[in-house]
Amino acid sequence: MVKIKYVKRPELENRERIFFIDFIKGMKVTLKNLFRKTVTTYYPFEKLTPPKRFRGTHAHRVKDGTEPPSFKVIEKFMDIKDGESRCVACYMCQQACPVPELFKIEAIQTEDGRKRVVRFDMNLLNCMYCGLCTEACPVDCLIMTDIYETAAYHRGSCVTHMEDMAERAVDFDRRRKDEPDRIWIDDKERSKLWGQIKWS
Amino acid sequence: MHLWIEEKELKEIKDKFPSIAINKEENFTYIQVKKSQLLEILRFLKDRLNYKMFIDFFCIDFPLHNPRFQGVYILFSPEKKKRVAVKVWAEDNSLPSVISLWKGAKWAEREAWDMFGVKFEGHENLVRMFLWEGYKYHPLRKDFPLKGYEEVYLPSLNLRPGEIPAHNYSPYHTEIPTMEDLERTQKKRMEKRNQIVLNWGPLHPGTHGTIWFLFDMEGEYIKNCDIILGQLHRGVEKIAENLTYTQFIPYTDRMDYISALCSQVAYVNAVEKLLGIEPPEKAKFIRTMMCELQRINSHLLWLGTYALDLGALTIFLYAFREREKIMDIIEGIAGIRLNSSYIRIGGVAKDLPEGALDVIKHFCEDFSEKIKEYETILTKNRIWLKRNVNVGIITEEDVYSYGLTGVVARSAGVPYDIRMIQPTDAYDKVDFELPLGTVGDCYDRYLLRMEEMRQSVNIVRQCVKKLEKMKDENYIASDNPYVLPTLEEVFNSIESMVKDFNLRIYGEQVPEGEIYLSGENPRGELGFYINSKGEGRPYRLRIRSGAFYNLQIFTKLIIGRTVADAVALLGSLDPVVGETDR
Amino acid sequence: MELVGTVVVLVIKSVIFILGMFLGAAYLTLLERKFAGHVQQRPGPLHVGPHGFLQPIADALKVLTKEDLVPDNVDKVLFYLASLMAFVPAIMILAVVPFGDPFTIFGVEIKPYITDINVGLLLALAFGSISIYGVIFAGWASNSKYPMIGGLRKAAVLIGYEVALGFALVGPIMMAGSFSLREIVEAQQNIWFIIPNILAFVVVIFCVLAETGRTPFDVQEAEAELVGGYVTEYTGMKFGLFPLAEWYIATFVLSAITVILFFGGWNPIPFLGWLPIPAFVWFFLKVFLLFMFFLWVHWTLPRYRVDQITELAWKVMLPLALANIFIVAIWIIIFG
Repeated sequence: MVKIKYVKRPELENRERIFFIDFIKGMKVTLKNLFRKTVTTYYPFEKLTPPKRFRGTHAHRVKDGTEPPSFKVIEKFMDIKDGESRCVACYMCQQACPVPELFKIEAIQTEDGRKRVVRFDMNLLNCMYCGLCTEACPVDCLIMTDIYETAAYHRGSCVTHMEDMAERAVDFDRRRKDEPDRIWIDDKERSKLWGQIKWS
Repeated sequence: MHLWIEEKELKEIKDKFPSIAINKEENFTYIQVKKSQLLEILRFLKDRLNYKMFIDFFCIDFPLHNPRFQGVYILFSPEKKKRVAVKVWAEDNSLPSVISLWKGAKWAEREAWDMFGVKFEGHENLVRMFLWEGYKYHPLRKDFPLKGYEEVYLPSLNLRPGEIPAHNYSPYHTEIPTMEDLERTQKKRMEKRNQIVLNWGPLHPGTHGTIWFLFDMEGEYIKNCDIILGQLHRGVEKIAENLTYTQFIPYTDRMDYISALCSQVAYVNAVEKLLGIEPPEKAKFIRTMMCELQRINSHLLWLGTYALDLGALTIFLYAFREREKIMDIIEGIAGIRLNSSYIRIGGVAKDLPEGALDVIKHFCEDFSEKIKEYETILTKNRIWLKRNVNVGIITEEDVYSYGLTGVVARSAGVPYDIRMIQPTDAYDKVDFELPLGTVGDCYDRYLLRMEEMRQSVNIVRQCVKKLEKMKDENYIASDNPYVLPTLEEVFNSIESMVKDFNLRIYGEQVPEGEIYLSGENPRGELGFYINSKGEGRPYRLRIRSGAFYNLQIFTKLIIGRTVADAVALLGSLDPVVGETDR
Repeated sequence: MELVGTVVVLVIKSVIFILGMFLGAAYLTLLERKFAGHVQQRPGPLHVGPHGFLQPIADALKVLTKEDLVPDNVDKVLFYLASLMAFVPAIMILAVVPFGDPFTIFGVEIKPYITDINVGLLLALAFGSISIYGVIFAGWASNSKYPMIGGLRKAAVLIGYEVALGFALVGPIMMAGSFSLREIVEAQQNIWFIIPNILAFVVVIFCVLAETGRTPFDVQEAEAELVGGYVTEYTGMKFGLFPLAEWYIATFVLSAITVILFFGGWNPIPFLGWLPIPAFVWFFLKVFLLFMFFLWVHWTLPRYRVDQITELAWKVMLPLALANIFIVAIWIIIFG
């Protein structure tokens, strides 16, 4: 139910006006904050761990036996060795992407008639990190990691290739695969920002 | 719950003007009128039937139809809480201007001229709205390509070939304005009549983005003012026509980037209504909760920058301290702090993670204390009172005439809140109070926003309580044929995979129809008009931006006041350039 | 011979004062930044030296080595003169501010002030007024709209508050019967002048805030309105001198004068006179506390509009200062 109410406009009383009560009250607040603990993190020296859901730089999960059933169905048509990116070149990520030009995916047919992905480039300069591509990937290959420091000296270095992405995913899975899907992981670091708040 | 005009009144109009055609549908009811009768009918609607609030005006391009352009007016009756739309074909590419009825139409008509090349007879200064004077094209026409005409050679992109990132960077670019173009634009907007013309913007700490104000000043007093918009114009409406409905969600984030979730919810609600999807109960509560968190977030940013503009430097960081916590929550739930793109057609992208509700509960407790702190420093401070009281008074008449919405309308005592008059999501299941102002000045707007934050905390609490009981429920209605399946479903069932492929490639095949639906953004009514021709992409998507209409009254309120008041006034109107320019 | 001796002593003293003031002002910036930081729950400068202790030096190096840009269309003479005109008078006030009673070390009598002339206070006021020119010159010479508005705003504020400040200082002068700052301190051995002069004290606080351009009176460089005010076009050390003079040296010196006039200068705090603390420590303690008070105000309050500031000056502060004179006159009649 919505109730309508008119806000009260507080007036400054004469007593408050003469003795500067309004200023004094405000200054009391700033003084109180002066003695509180600081809430900042010293960024380049101290880095917070993003939550598991964080949408950072893209990565490719590799073929390591943990594939979903959907991959097993397509696998026999594909030429993918163990430890290689499990991309099947279905172009779903490109279809889902609002800026499809940023993908460059190429696949060839090998001699035995199977398909092999030879190129999977993402121009991250055009990416808006919306995550639609990861939701479209039917074989749990394309994921987003927790890497957020993506600055580079050349525009060319902002294009990420398949091999880098596979490496990144291996690293990411090693670090965070078994983590529960919690709102954030490192309570200790966050508690600094959040001050005295306790949570279970 | 729909808000369209009732049969009885339609009949009354039909009796008065027999030549009109009426099209009554659940999502969009309009009256088709002739150009010669337009002003008469609008006046009848305004004066007789009380449809006195101007909501929106826009054009639609039908290249094969003659006349080519169709104008659509949307009006609202504050007493009856009903909307009505009026459609008219622009014969000879021109329409009569309705500025004499609603001043708020001024910019909307300029935008239509800018984007479609429709002229308006009797408009006081029909110049470009977003693009510069001398630009040759009208980009929202259907024959204008999405990438524009690439005709300017930009060598800087080619200077260091080794650094060009792989793919399709063309050295040719669409036309960009030169200094002369900008000067011409400025000259067209305003003539110098007084001592100095101050260019306040486009890049200025006080303008909160890239708004370009022109102040014609006599000493410190502003005698005349105009605003040049468009520095952040990205053609979102054009982009939408070339994307599927799901793909457009990230773009809604980038309009009002300070309250991304609210924009998403408003957009997705419109699409869902058009598709006839009913999201699950849990998704509705998550959306409401996230919206309200985002509203607090947005109001906190407003409080910080507003106080900073008025000199209270410390409040800025206090507000950001709390805002950071909301950002953390949104990051933990959606994955990204600012442009979260978390809402999906049919529900939300992901379920709430473990511990989220707990954290939100603690935040609510803590925030109520912190809001008291802000109020102690500001509310009764004599300087704050002096800077705010009786600055920029907005009357009820202004609200209707300019189409003001959101806090700006409510400060004038108009109970116009989409959450109340057309509750979407779970807003009809939560209790909250709607604060209204009595004077309509900056101080009222300040008090209102503070009160709204408190109400939002209240709503979040209620949602958390509800959500705690719904732990195992579905968060997305993925059994609906129009809703994308979740990742698990795709992994495990071939049907879902096929459905996913189909929806990704062809888009949601929305049935033919139109809809206008809005959501209550922190900056006012954010309305989405979608015209579907039964394809996977919208034929026309119009965004009715609250900030765009709210900013319009600035030029009127500032005249006769000082530059210092301009800061206060602009801050209290609180436009976000991403939304005004789109 | 005696003349040479005096000159040498004066030069040495002046150098010490000026260098001390420079260094002091540099560390006052650090103090302010640290204070502002902690008020806003952030640590302030932290990485240059332990806890950012060497930050002022890094800042000074940075500001000195910055490219010194002079825009094309400025009035060059006034443009250069302006930063000096703002800075030099502020530091010249130090010539008449005493920091303690004369004392003897190794048989040499040292006077911790440069001169003690009998119109010291008037001189301080006069120097303070000169710095208005720096602001107006800077605003005019920059040949740009924001600096001009900023300069004129500041000039309007200064003119208003100079008058109120002048009248507010009359009270303590009447009680002491002298313009010499040293004699004013000596007159406060029994009772501080704040007792009957409380109104004047309020006026002086407002005036100091206004003269030094601190919130709530920082209209001249209200960054949301005027970008940088009259320093918009300045770079490098020419830019650095303005805030240094205004925010630190002027605030510090005016705090010192306020302490001398109302809080008994280097006289110990009542009932704490038995503590073995030297006079100038008392003095600096009081100045420090007052300076912190100004910082505290600066980092709490919003700012007035310029017309409200001048209105406040002429309609509230000036009458208060005049009323104070009246009260003090009655006080003198009653208590002698």
